[in-house]
Amino acid sequence: MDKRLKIAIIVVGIGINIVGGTLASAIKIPLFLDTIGTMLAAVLLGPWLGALTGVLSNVFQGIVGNPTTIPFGIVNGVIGLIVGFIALKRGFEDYVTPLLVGIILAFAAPLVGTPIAVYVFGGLTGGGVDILYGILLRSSERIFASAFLARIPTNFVDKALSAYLVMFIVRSLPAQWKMFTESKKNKQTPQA
Amino acid sequence: MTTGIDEHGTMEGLYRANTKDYWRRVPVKTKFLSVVLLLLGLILSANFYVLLVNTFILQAGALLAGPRDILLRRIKPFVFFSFYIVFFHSLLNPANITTWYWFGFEGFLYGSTVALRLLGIVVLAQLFLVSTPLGEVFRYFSSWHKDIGLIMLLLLGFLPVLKEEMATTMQAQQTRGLSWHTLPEKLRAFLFMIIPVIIKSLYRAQGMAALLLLRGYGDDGGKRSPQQETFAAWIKGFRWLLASALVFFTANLALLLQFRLL
Repeated sequence: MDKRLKIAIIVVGIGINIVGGTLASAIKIPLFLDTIGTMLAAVLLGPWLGALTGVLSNVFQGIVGNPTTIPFGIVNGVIGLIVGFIALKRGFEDYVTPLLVGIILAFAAPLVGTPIAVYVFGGLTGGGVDILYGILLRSSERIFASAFLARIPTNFVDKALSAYLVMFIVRSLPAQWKMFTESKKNKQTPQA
Repeated sequence: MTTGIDEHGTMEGLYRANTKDYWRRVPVKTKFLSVVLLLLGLILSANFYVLLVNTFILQAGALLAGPRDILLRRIKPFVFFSFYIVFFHSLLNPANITTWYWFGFEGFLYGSTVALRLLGIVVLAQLFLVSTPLGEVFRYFSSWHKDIGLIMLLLLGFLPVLKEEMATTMQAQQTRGLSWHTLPEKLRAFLFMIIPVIIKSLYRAQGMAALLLLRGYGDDGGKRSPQQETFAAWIKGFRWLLASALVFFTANLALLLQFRLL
């Protein structure tokens, strides 16, 4: 793919991340929905540029707004990596892959994000998840495990929904935009 | 959430011009390096008393060197959040043994450690961002890799367009009778608003790529001869700043290693 188009897709992906998160909080959905652009970029451009999209979108938001979002760029980058590798492996046009992505990310994203959240914020988010966190903290007596478990349900719905959305969009895009079809083609006809 | 463009339509980010401040005059490179050193020092310290001293030093330094009123205004929400963290952990932390009514001492200590660290991080980050214009930050990113700076600057121009598109789509869908009260309705509304925006911005990506081609930005184009700057040149006049950052970092590292104050 053209390098300029790659840069433009990264820019658009970051923009979609930011707008998605803003819109979700504007109409008061209890989900983050701020990784749609990362997933889209990861599916279209491959894992590493997807990770770049994720990290840069948090860095950008940190620089222009709230600096505490910067450490969570790691989570966003990991999401880009995972989605990118899954897309390279299985494509992103069937109904199973987004569900798979949702299940994997429901565990992977909190696994990376919880240590950061526990270290920086004491595991609190300032939202509704804190109630669940408090209950789990009271019953299980472990800070990390409680913060981790409290995040899984929200993350699953959030990531699966985003992945299905990306799947429906990717289906209707032209073939030369998709990284995974290119890599499949290269496998079938190896170039000397 | 702020998205780079504030209410007045300026693209200044958190930066507020105030030439009197010391931090405004420090070159971005030097500032970035010292802030990173200070942040690392802060992250290394995990003991309540060490953090208390650290945060006190940082706050005092920041308030002396930086624009005071803006910094204080920026830090205010985090002060409230810090109190919330302390309160939450005093009540609910599982380590609570010694209690005074419902408040546990161990949880209080844990919560205040986290809160102090958060405040320190926020002060440092805000000090850097308040005293540096967005353009300078992104140009500094370009010195790492030119595409990163380009992406950031393109995004700065792209976001207002995207927001406008979002508003248009929202109005159009509302005219067609889209409403959101219950949760399923909200999800449906989210999809109906975000999908057109994504498709439109993908079209815009093609335009953006064409624009980059027209401006002569290519696979090997856009190369500029890198400015050779010696280390001595860019810390000139700001040696003591870097030195104190280094001292802060090493002091915290030494505390961590020697006394195992984790």
